[in-house]
Amino acid sequence: MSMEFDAIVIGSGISGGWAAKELSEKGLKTLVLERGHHVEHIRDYQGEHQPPWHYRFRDYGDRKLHETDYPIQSKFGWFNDHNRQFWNNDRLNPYVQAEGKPFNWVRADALGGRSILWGRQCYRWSDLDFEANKRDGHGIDWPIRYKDIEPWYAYVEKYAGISGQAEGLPQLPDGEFLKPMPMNSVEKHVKAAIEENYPGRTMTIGRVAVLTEPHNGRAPCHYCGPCHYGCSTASYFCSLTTTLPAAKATGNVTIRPDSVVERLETDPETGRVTGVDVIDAKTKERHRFTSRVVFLCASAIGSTQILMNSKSEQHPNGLANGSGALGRYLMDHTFATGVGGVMPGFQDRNTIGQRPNGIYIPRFRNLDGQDDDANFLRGYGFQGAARREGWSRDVPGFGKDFKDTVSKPGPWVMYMSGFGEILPYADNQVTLDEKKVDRFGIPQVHVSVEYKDNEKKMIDDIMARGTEMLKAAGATNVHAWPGPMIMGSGVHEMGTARMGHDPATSVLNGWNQAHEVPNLFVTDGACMTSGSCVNPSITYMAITARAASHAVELVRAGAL
Amino acid sequence: MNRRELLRAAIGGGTGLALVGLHRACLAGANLDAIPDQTVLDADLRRVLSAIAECIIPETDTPGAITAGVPQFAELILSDWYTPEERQPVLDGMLALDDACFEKHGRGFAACSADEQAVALGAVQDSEMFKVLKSLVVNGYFTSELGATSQPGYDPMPGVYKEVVYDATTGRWS
Repeated sequence: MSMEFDAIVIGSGISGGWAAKELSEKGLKTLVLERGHHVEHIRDYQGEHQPPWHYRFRDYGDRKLHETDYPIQSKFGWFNDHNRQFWNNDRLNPYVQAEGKPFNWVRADALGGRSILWGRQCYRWSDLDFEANKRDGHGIDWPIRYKDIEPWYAYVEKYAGISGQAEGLPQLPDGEFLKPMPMNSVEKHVKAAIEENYPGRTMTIGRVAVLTEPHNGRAPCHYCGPCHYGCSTASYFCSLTTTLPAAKATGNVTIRPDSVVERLETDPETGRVTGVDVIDAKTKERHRFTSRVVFLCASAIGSTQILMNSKSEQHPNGLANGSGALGRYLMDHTFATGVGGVMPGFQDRNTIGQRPNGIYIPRFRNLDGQDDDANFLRGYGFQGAARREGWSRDVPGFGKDFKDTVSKPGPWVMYMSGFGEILPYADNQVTLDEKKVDRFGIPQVHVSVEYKDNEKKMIDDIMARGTEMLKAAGATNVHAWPGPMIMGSGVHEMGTARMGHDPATSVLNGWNQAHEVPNLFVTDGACMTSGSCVNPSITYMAITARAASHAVELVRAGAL
Repeated sequence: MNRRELLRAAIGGGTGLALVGLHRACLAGANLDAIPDQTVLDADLRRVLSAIAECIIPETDTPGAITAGVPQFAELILSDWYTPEERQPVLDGMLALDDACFEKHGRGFAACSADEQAVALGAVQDSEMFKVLKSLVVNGYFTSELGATSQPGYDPMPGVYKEVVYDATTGRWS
């Protein structure tokens, strides 16, 4: 294969897929490098629509294998025997956690990356988010505002297909929505109770990258439930079924799986990336690919690892790290802080089909300045759902009556889980452990991160506000729990190569272009200057498409 | 030596391999995938487990636990999924239940009448053994092909998500 390209995209997930599509559609000969194995749409969805009895350990999973090979990934409910082929093997690809500071690095290791496995929730940021750092002084100011990214949100939403309900909320701008999925009667009841009792709070159906109507040649959802087993009808947004096929259709793209990027080579004269050094994961052979432009989309920590391992005489602390910001300010969202309760009544109601979506309560804290009763900065949103309990509920006894009872639908329950903004802290940090190398000889990532005071106070507020809302809706047996309090659990790693105005305090400029390396763009979660409280992927899509467009303009102008 | 001690001696004393062979022979023709890699139940305890499973989910107008293959699944999880520390209270509890039936009725739990079994099992509902086995049996039943597909209105993929209403006169959801 040719070793020379116009553009190289490192990573094939949410961001890499978009970079590949945009760059190749604009005429650039593009190489996509993916460290994971190849995945063929449909053929490799071995777990799709499989009933539990086709698996030896059914819902319990292969515990011994999980303990030896997947100790981190298997903590997550979406990891199981149906989709294990997409996830990172923790034994083969280890990382180091700082003593007393656990970090869950939840990773895919397959073409398409975490776009196969993601939660699919899509919420636009607003200027409440882009101005947050400037407003309270935590972190540096974003170099962009909502108006800069607004057209790009519309652009990627129209292509990806996002179902949702417009609400006209300033803190959660509406997008280009397909028709919303329905709420059930209990969710409608809870919505009415919250909106009546707590003016300023809203409950809407989740905005989700799952089709509710035919869209761009893809079929609407058939409501089988677990999207993350792979979807033969391509009804949720995934690189494998949307952006990568679009890129391939241009004839300009080469996709190379099993390609572990070791480092980026830079020319000391021009200051530009001149080569991408790859180790073939299967053969261990080394290759060097060259291009005019490099898009780093390997996930926040993956991209940071590559930059740090690309140090040179000119870049002794890692590539593009004159500021020292690289690897610092790792953010996530507080995760799985929850509240739940039993909703009396509605016994003649049930639902059929598995809705791959829930409800959303947008941020209502600290919207217009600091709330008088809030002892924390910024805010959180709730995701949740109401459903009838099934056979796994606690029913006393045994025998015929027990069997009859447990075979019938149980009471309605409503659960809500808070996703909170985590502030950027300099000492929530990723470094390389030069003494521990992986099977490719690449230094392992060392992660030292923790929730701090603001996050803990926010979690207390999530539990209190969630409890009061469920009680107002008439729930009984209301209980709240703080969640694991472990960074990474939200699987929204962000911030380790942040954007900023000033090269002295940031890695990237307002176009995701490295201040120090003009032909290098980083458009995954690493670029995030703050974290907001909403799920980040649609923002990565928009910011990637925007950066790719800018890069192509620079190429056409002869600047790159 | 009572049965409990006998079983421990047998497995601890290296008779385990023979038990594995016997077990595989008994299950030849059954779902081989469900055969545990190691054997922790002897034939008696296997009968106790089956009887407990059927007590929890009996045959009614839908299949019971035994018809649905639940005892084999429960044994697989007990043998290959649970750690020895997690498993021991379950084995001890089953042996104690069996011993209690021998003392009271002169026969083991599996040979007791349905009423005798219900009373004996009812007396140990707070035990770790019962809680673990109940959870295993219920899960094993509703994730088995017969258990799942015999549920009224079983349809894992109706192609829509929508609310349905119960009609008390027809007994149907629509």
